[in-house]
Amino acid sequence: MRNMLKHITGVETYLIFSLFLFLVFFAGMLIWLFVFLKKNQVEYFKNVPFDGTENNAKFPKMPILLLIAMIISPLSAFAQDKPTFYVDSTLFTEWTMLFLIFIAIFLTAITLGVAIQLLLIMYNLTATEEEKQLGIWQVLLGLKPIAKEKDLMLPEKYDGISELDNPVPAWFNMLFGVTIFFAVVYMGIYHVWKVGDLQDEEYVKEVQYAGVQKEQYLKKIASLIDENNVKVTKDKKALDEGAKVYQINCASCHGKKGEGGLGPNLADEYWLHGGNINQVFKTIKKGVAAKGMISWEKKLNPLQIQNTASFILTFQGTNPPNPKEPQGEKFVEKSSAKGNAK
Amino acid sequence: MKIEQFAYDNRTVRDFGVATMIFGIVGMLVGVTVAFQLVFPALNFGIQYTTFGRIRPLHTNAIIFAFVGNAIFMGVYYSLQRVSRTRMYSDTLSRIHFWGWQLIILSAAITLPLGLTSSKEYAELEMPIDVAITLIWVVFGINMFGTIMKRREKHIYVAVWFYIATWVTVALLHIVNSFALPVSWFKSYSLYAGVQDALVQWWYGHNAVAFFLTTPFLGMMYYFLPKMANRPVYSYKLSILHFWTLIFLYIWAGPHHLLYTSLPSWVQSLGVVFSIMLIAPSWGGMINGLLTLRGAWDKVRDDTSLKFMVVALTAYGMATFEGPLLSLKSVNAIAHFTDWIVAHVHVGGLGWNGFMTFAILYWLFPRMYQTEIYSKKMMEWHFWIGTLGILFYAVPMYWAGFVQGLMWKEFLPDGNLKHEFLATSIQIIPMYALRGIGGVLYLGGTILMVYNLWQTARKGVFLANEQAEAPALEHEVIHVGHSHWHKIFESKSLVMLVGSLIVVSIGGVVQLVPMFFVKENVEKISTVKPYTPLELEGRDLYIREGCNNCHTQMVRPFLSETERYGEYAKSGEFVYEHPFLWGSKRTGPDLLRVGKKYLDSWHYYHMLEPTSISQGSIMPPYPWLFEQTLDYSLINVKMRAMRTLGVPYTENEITQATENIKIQAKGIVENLRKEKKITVNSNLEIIAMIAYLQRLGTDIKVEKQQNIDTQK
Amino acid sequence: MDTTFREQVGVLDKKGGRNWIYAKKPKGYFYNWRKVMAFALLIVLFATPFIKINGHPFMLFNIVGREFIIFGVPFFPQDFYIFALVMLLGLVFIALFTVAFGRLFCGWVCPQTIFMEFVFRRIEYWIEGDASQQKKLNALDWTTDKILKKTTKHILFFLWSFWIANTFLAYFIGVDALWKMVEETPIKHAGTFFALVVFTGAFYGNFAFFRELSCIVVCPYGRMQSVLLDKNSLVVAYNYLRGEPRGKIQKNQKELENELENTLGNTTKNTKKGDCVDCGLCVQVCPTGIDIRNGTQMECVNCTACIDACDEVMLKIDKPLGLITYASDESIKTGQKFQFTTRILAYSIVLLLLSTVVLFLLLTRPQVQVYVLKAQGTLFYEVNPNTLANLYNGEFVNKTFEEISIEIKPKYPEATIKMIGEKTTFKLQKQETKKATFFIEMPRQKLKKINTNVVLLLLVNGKVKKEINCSFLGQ
Repeated sequence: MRNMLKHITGVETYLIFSLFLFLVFFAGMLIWLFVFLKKNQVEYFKNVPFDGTENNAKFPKMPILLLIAMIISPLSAFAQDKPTFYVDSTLFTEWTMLFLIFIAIFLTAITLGVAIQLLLIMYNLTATEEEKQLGIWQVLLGLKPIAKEKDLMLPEKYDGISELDNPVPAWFNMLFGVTIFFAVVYMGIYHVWKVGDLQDEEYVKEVQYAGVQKEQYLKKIASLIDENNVKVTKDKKALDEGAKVYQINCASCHGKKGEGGLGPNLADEYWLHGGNINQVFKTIKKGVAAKGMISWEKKLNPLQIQNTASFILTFQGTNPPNPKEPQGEKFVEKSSAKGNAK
Repeated sequence: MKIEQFAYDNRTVRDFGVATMIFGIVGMLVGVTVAFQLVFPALNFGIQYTTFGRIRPLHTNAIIFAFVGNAIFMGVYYSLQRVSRTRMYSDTLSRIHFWGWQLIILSAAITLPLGLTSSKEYAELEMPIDVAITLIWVVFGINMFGTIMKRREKHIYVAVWFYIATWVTVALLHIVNSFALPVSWFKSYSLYAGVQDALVQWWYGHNAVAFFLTTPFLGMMYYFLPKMANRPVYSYKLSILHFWTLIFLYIWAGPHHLLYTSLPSWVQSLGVVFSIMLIAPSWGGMINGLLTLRGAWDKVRDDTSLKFMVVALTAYGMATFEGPLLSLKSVNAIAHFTDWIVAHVHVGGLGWNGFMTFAILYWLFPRMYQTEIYSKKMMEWHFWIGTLGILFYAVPMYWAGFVQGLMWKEFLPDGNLKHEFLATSIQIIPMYALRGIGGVLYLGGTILMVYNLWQTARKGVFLANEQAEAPALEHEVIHVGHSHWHKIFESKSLVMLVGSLIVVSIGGVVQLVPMFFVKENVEKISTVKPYTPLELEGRDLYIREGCNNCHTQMVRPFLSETERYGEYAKSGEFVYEHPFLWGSKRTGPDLLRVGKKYLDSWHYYHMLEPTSISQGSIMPPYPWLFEQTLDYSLINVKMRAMRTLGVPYTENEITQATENIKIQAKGIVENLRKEKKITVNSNLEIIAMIAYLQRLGTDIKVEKQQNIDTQK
Repeated sequence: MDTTFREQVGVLDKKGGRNWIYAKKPKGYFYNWRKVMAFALLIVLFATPFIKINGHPFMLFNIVGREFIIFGVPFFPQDFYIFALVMLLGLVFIALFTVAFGRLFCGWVCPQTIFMEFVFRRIEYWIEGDASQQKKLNALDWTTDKILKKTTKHILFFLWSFWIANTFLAYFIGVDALWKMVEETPIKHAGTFFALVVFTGAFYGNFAFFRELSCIVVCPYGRMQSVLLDKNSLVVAYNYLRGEPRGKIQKNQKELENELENTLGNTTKNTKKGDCVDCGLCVQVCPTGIDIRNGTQMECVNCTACIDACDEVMLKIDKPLGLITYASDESIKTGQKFQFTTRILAYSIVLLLLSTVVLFLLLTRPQVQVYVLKAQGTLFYEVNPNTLANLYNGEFVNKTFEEISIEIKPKYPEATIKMIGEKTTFKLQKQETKKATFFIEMPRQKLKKINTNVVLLLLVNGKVKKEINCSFLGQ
């Protein structure tokens, strides 16, 4: 069982926390009983018949028994050193965990309900006559006693319009309370305990996640080459592949022999966006939208781009016929120092 | 006890009512026009004064301040007199108020198409008109408080609480948001820059919705609904609870218009949580109204005014539930900048404001003309086509927003975006068409109403002064002893005024003051430099043409946006932006990082004929930019004004401005010639526009470049 | 007549707390038919996610994955204008329907009513007994019996809510994906699981506690329906002409009446009691806690429980049925039976027409969607001094489940298309989206202005399906 707990951190704390809560609750109740209760009310307690079958039992002992049973039962489960059952399957253990959590939540909910019931009983025992008439919710919500007002109609009239003195619906107050609670917790999460991600962290995570996804995808299509690790290939077969891609896709703009046309000359030493393999790769991959060079990364896989880029670099110095005039800067292989251009 | 005789002033009420109807028709007509301009961009007929960017503000201003504004005054002038049992304080002030307001509207209708705008949404009007609004608002205030003070009713009725809160808050919002430094009669620069300006603007913008479109209408509901249904208000306690909580919480919610922007996170979070907390107080009004009405539910079947009321309340309930929902960051991430928001505000506008106004008009006119409504059948028809109009408006817009939300954020598995921006725009054009039809239906209903009321007025006799009598108020009997604690507020209008002022100020102070004084809230970026003179002039053209009505300049920190547009916006980039131009709707793509993305000639052709570059675009052509010469006579004044506001222009830069403009313009002309052999005069407006667009968002790219360089 | 119902809300007590509605279990003609209806609808709801056509779900609304299948037909975000239209027509449909037939929807079709009345309340009846027993049980102290009953009930409620939430999830992500998530354990899909828990909680809260407040306070549609009603609309109504003056039946009522009739010759209105015996059953069965005899009210969802309850009594006291029945305000006033007026006929025709339009739209939805946009950021290129070229991106979406072949070609011979990396004829797999980039080249002398419209033809499987307008920049 202890191994299982490792799957969900904080389960222990959760149990300890709830146990602590109940302890506080019971302690509070005891203090209340012995310090604040008036004599006659203690008398009342003495007279409470502790026999559940009796119909006139006004003091429910069942819930308390249940409460105790509930606290003990999960504890006993966790107290065991060796589980009576053990199946070596994460699937099973995770489901068990979930089930236990579910049970725990469910039990907590019931205990809370019982606790509220107890609270109500205590309240009824200690409240003054006037308060009793009001009921606990009215006191908690600060509503005025309506029973005192014989008529709902308020005396004043405005141009014939009168107002009723109906109470604010309790569920309305509840709704309001819940939203306020939400607000407090929300501010707490993001700005006090700082456990929630604010937009900048959120963005960083999103980018990271997308990066991982993309990497996995590229792995799946068997290519992790990018502009940083691309290498010039001298492999004949690869260059033939590149040539094929070039003739289909590139030749219409850059000429069959790289002499240029719509697009710039690829056979001279002048490059608009850099002439080493990394830069050529990037230009093909991302494109230069403003100048009509489309991005190819959706059409060609990285390996194909590497082959094509390598093929394009073979044009260097071939001096094809009808060359287009040089564009861009003369490329000097200075970044070869970086080491990955060769 | 002495019974006093007096007469209610119906004339002012009637006049405001007539103005409501006239401007309702005008505002809706402009609305329908702009709606169809998004389907057929040619609908501006090639005229610069009727482009979407210029008349969309005309539509919003006409509806909010002319149609709804006049409706508010109509409702207030009628109900305030009666719940106070006195005539308005001063007939002269009533007249000044009426005509003053109409003149303001008229001047708005003239200046906005001329491109004289501050660019701040729902506060587009320029300085002189802003001052006029303030004056007239004060006149209204004196008249209102005068009336309240001379009332013959001991306590102030709940409707009037809302009127008081409206008055004081709108005054506060209007004045704070309109602070600007004028450079000429109709050109001024906002006192605030960038992030601060955005916060102030949406503090204003959101609360214009709250205190111009909501609280006065709640007040009117509290008078007219019980009157129509002849029922007592359901719960006095609920009135108190939701009044105070509503005005307290509303003022905080403004930052939800700026979620995921460069606004500091703590302000954003405040905007979120206060919007969520607004659900209950907003619904308090709806519940009180509905439960008031439920006692007369059988009347709803026969009484069309009540039907209008029920739809109004329902629309209010829907909009105020949807609002907080949209304020949740995860929802906002998808819905913001889309047509979903447009649908949301129109559910409120058409449903809540429009329908309640119609209900009140139908109820008031027969009474003031002492006759029955001319045609009940027509009323029924109006209700039907009006309701259908709302549906035809809202449903397609929700879907459009949904489509935008989905398509803008759709990625391919390789990490690329799936759709170009334009692909999405093309998808939603059919929805825009449907929305236009919805608008036509709604407008048709309104026209029917105007005709109906016109005929009603013709067959009746107008009662300008309605005789009434009431005992004088005995001032000394006011005692607080045993009555409800809230009666203190109801006994003294000034207590109410100060009380609401304090309550609404808290949120504003907490959010705005730290933004002005705590420097950490805006990061400093050394590479961000002021605009050159030509760019500054281009920016003013951008404002004049209202480009910010369709284009945002705010890339939010989402991968889908940084992939599409570039690095997300940093607060430090906007320190010289007087006013900020973040926009609130992406009918077109974001422009924050458009600078240097395309060639100068791209912009040239694109402004001349957008569809030639972006096939299927719904942006209208701007041929006048190619004909009008740039007027930069004020450039020195403008730069000095900017320097006063904290933009670090040197004296040298200011004196050299004209030279500088000529040099930069020449450069662009040269570029155009080189790129596509375009020959163009360097003194045209288009040159300044290109200069500005090419500068946008480039300062931060420079920083990146530097980083890379230093690494090397 | 007692008018407190106008001043206070039935479901709220005097302190603003909840006045819990213990609705008596209805039985009778309408209830039986509603049971059938509810059963059928529940089956449809729960079974639909499992239905597959050719291996594709019958219904799927996968928002995150942008995958939408309705009645086995795939839809794309690009088709949403049809949804908008369908939804609009649907709303108009319901509006017109309401004018004629009232809130039939609320009582017979609305999931809230069906789940509430035919799932959750039936569980409640089954475990805790009828209304009076429920009341008694709640007044009781917490005995073993009560704890057992309450716990069982809430566990069942919770399980049902969980099931409903799962079913909805299946509509959104598909049964297979859901099953996969279950198999891989929810811990791996914490986000989805959390959403599932939240929705389970929402359903549970709604059906176990919030109940009729959903209809009264939250539902805008219920309210909208109410304003659409007029005096000719069919609603659940009490025939006040027949029923009033109401009063407890006396043992010898009949004899008394006969006697009066004999002595006076006729029974006058003053002496004759109405058919309503004021037994209060119609109030007891009402799930929203109203008295239908007060007339049409905001809360009434037209569930027909009061009709059944009243008819049962009418049978017993030997009076004609239908003291409470489906009727219009007008029909009661005039004493006539509810009739199919020309108005209803006209509405029905309109509704029929609308449905046809929707059907037409769905059936004629284009099988292939094509968008041609100019490549972002490009202008024009000079191929040679006499020819200009523009670059375009085309997107071709095959919306069908079959493979098709696509061809594009210029309509007029002066233009030429140069595809990049693709031929002008290509295949599209089922549901495939393909992007193609191509140049259009135009001779300069054909370009009369800066922006020229060039028309392309789209051929699907060899047939011309569409003309594509492309704007061509350059002169």
